[in-house]
Amino acid sequence: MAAPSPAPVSDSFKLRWDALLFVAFVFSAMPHATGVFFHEWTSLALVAVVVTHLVFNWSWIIRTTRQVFSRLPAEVRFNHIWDALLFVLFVLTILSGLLVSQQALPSMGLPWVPSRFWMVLHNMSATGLTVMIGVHIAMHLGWVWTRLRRKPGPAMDAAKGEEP
Amino acid sequence: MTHLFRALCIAMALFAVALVLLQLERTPWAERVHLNTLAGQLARLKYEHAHASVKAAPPPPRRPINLSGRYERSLVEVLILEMGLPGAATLGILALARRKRRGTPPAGPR
Repeated sequence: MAAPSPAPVSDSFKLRWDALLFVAFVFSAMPHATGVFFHEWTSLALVAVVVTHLVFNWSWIIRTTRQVFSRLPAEVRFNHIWDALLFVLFVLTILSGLLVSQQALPSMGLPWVPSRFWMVLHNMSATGLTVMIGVHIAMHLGWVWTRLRRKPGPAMDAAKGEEP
Repeated sequence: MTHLFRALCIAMALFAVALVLLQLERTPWAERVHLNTLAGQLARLKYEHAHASVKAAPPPPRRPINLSGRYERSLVEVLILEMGLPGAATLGILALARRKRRGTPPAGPR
């Protein structure tokens, strides 16, 4: 027996959440301008925001993952693989950032152990993540544009089964 | 409740990926970076020891961690160079692919 599906999240709320995610990411990507303290705490908060973003798009993720070995349009397949890589790179960026954290972890009582390796990895993964997010947004720009032009309504994901 | 369960699944996936990525520290690349850092520190100590008796101006204070130039991003760099350009390239490729799929002839003179 299938689990009851939860009430769908409206597209306008999803769009607002994605806008919040975008703004938080852009500002956390500029530690020199915003300061290390803001950078570290915003990046940690981003984990919760990203998890929620994934929960909102859960049905698309599951549906596409189930069809990944069957016939899928090239664009959807690329999108799925890209999103998976984006997830891995996001985890790498957060993990390496935590390991070289100068303020967030020490404030929690954990010692700061500087590591050149993780710092190099953090810089590389953060740059890669920014580029990948640019492509990710471009892939979903059609959806964003449609939602911006349309009046708020019921969730498209549940109603039509389209991509997020 | 379902949303909470899904969030838990995603958090577990995140944790599993993080555990796998932690193994990167055991790669030869990590060892090489670590050894290079140690070699640099050793060379610095040797230099300071050799010049200890010489009265010279003190070196500039070192930052607590060696931050590369990529750390200092501006808003324009993030939005235009790192996100905008790859995004624009993606939009161009998508438009070309969709046009090719529809079979419409390219705009402009042939």
